[in-house]
Formats: sequence, C-alpha cells, structure tokens
Amino acid sequence: MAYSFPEEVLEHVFLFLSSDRDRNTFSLVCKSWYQIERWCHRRIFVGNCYAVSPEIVIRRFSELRLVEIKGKPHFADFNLVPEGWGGHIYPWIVAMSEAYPFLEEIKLKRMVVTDESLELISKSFKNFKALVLSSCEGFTTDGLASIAANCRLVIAKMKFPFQLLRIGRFPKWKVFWDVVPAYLPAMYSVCSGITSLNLSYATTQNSDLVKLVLDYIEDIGLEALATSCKDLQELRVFLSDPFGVEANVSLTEQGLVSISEGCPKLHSVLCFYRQITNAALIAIAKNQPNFIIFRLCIIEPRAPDYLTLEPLDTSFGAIMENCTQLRCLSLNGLLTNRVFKYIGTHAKKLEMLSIAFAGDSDLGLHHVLSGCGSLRKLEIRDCPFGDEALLANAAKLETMRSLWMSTCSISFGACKMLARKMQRLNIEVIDDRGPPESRPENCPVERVYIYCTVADRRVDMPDFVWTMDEEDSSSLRYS
Amino acid sequence: MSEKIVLTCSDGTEFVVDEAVALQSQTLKHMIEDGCADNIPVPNVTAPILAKVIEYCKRHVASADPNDADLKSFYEDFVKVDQPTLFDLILAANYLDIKNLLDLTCQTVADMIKGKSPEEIRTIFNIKNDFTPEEEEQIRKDNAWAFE
Repeated sequence: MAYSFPEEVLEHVFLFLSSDRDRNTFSLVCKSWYQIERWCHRRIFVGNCYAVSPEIVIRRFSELRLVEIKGKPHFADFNLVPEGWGGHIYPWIVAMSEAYPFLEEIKLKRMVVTDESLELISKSFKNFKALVLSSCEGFTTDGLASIAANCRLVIAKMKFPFQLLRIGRFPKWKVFWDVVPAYLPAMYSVCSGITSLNLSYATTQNSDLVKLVLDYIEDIGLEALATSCKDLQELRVFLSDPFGVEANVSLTEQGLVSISEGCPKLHSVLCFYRQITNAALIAIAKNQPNFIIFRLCIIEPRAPDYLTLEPLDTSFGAIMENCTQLRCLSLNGLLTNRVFKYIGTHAKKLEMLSIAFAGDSDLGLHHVLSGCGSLRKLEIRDCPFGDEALLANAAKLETMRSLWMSTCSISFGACKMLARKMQRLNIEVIDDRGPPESRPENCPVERVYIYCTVADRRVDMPDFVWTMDEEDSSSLRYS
Repeated sequence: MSEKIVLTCSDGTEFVVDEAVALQSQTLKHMIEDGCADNIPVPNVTAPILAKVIEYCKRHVASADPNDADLKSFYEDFVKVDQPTLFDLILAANYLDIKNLLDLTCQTVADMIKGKSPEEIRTIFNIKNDFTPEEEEQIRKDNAWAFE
C-alpha cells in the first residue's frame, strides 16, 4: 500500500535531513519529492563556481536564503593560478538579485569580488544579514563601505599574508581576523577550553609583535599548548620567515610531536615546517589515529628526513595506515612512488589530496587515481606525472570535483585526447606561452585544470586559458 | 476537577481524556475553544493509533522536560513500531497538529532515509519512479557535480 504523505509532512521530513547527500537523494525519489526539495532547500553549496551556472541554480532552487560558492582552485593560495584566471562573482549577484530577493547570507571563497558586486549586494537583498569573504580579492574599502550600512555581520578572512583594513571606519561591523593574540602566555592559562587555534602571521606595523609571538611559539610554546589546551581540535602553524635560508626560531618537529601526545582531540593540523623526520611523523601517526585533516607543508622541495636523509615514504605511509578517517592530506618532502602505493591502498576515505614535488613516474599518479575511492579534489604541482596515468584513469575524473596539475608532464595531445574521451569534463589549459597549437602536440602544458560541469563552456576566460573542445579536437577560447 | 473530553475515532470507539491531554493537539484545542467540548469526532484516526497518540500526550502533560532521561527513552520506545503504524502516527500527528509528536515521527522517518539510495527509499515508501532515465541521470549529475 502506497503512503501518500501530504506535502507539508514530506517538507517536515526533509527539514530533518542535514547532509547534502541525503537531500540530493531525496530529490531523486520521484517527481513530487523533487519539487519539495526545490522548495525546501534554503542553503546551497557550490564547490566550483564553473561546475554550474547561476541560471541552472535558479531554475532548480526557488527559495534560497544562503549561498556558498568557491571559485579559484586551492593552489591559488600558493600563487599557482595566474592573476585574472577567473572566479568572478558579479554574474552570480546579478542573477540572484532578481531570483532571491530574500537572500540572507553569501559565503565566498577564492572569488573575485569587485566593489560593483558589493554595491549590488547592498542594494538587492533587503533581509541581508551576513557576508563572508575568505581569500577573496578585487574589492576596496569603498565597496565594503557600501554594504556596511545594510549588513549586520561581515567576516573577511584575508589570505596570508593578511592585509589590515582600517576597521575604525566601520563601527557596526564585527570583523574577524585570524591574527595572533598579543599575549600568548595569558591566553594559554585562560583558554584551556579553546578548540581552534590559528597561529597565523599577520603583517603589522609592529614587527616586535610578530617576533614576540613567533619566538614564543617555538617548541616551548607548542609544549605549553600541549599541557594546557587539552580540548584543542585544530592547529595551524605558519612560518615567520618562510624564505629565509636558516631557521630563525627554534621550532622543530618535536613541538608537533608534543601536541600530538598532549591533545587527544586534535583532528586537524595545518603546519609549515622547514624539515621533519620519519620518526616524528610515525610518532604523530601513532598518537593521533583520529586525524581528519593533515596538511604538513615542508618548505624545501624534496626535503628528506633530515637525520637519516631517507625519503618520507614510510612515515606518510604510517599516517595512511593509522589515520583511517583521514579526509584531507598534503604530501611533500622527498617521496617516491612507494608513498602513492600506500595512499592507493589505505586512504579509502581521502577526499582531498595535495601533492608537491613528489613521485618518480606515472605509476604514482596511477596508484592514487585507481586506489582512492573517495577522492574528490586532487591538486598536483611539479611531479613527474604524465599522459599515461591520466588517460588510463580518465573515467575516474567524472567522479571527482576537480584535478589541477601544474609543471607536470601532461602534453597538449593528451588534453585533446582526454576531451574526446570524456565529453562532460571541462579541460582548461592555462599557459602563458601563447596558444597550445603553436607548439608540438607532445609539448607539456604549463597547467591543466580539469573539472566536471553541468554548465556550458566558460565565456569569461582570459587570453591565457584554452578549453579543449571535443568536437573538432582543437582548442577554443571565447572572448 | 479536570474537564473530560470524549474523542470518537474512525470506527466509533470513544476515548475519554483529560482536557489537558486533548489540548496538546492544536486542532482539538481550536475545537474545544469553539465550544464543541462534549464529543469530538476524529474520523481520520483509527482506534489503535488514537490510543497511542493519547499515550504520547498523557506523557507530555506529566512532564515535557527535554532533559528528562525517562522522556528520552519513552520517545525511543514510542517509535519502535512497525512501519505502517509509524506512518499512521505521522498522519495523525499532522492532522491533530501535535508539533512534538510530528517532529519525533518525522525525525524517525528521516533517520530511515539517511544514507539510503533513491531505490531503497522508493521501496520503503512504495513509491513509483516517475522520472524518465534521462531526467534521473540529469538530476544525478547536477547533484553530484554542482551541489555536493
């Protein structure tokens, strides 16, 4: 016997589904459930602004109150995406200003937000409450001033190194900065309940402030943290002088090991280090099987274990084996294909992987693409990965959000072949040397960005981006 | 002295309840306020379901403290019923407009849906798939590529 629940009951059930996946499943049950999902959806998350168009979003969802959109690939944070690549929010704001007059919140990450966009936001949404800009660019204080009057809360997380705005001009704002408190010792004793600590470096006029903080945080600081902040869940450590030849502070891997021993709830780590040892990483892996995010960025490319001079394969392998819940990993240091075999074998829940200056050959890439069943985002720079692994695992790319490869060995010919094989992918060749056709087919491209999309081709590409067209196997650029 | 209300369900069985219990239902509350306090027909609800609804409302009149551990285990046991009963309880809670009961039963149904595939959900609810394969494929792609 079929139960036909009244619509209001199904809406009520829908409201208890919190995950995107369950809500998406709900929409696939039948046409009436699809309609309910369209009406009930109040918040959407678009992980890649070019995976969908504003028009498609508006056609599908009629009553949105919160929109979250991400633009540039993550490697933009490391200046690997050339200026002007894209990620413009303006067309979205134009479309949403008509479709969603009751929109309350917009969250943007790595997007280009002009003053014009900010003005349009301020004029279009009468119930607007909050704007979050993470690592966005393109606006000035003039643009922010135009929404200051209408917006109750603006959170601006600027990317490293941070720029300070003169917040005195906007008394109604609450502006949050990921800056370091001036007095760490006092903070430690007061904040034994802190769960998230971001020890980021901020450019200020007071260089003494910076020095004070970083001299303090060294291993001693991290050990103090380990003894007093037992509830710590997230830790980020940045370097004060990443390009200096020698370490200017005494921050070694021991500090990180102390944290891993002392903070049982730690599940997310983002640290920049100059050097590390296998022993330290293995100790960390054993102490913290609950890691979800582990991003260790070793400044020196291909740096080995600085004591034994061996590759770091075994210790990253230990991380893979012990941290079965790992979802997000950054890999760098001296690494051979072996580490990729470990990853392909063990990292079953891994969704995001970032690889720099690692591996010996295509086999490394093949292990990752064929083994990591949950992989959604893969970004690779300066690795000897080429056409064979990419083409052999072409189908995998339709199960992922995106793949970024720069300074690898992917040829223009392979990009074209991939476009012919996988017609629903957008394959962008990003190259400063002029049209790819002007070079031999087997010439490696500088950067390739591959992503799934249900939208049509981009029409806002700058003159250094080409999209592979599957029909006539030539590269296209619309200006 | 508490007022008594008589509720008559779909097959004619009468249930006598304290007014406070009946007032848990916004639908009944409006009818009581409108003056039909003697005998209220509840034709959409069968006797066993109405009995369960009354059990729920009685418990709520006794104590509705959300921190009450007994109440939590009452809720858990209350929804350990077969599927047809659960669905009938939802419809009754909806018709009688009893918010917490509706929340409880809808949450239970949502928990049944979580993590399942569309096919499994259709089986649970005995729903026919009225999408064409192309329509279904397009929505799957939109969901996976754009909105996850």
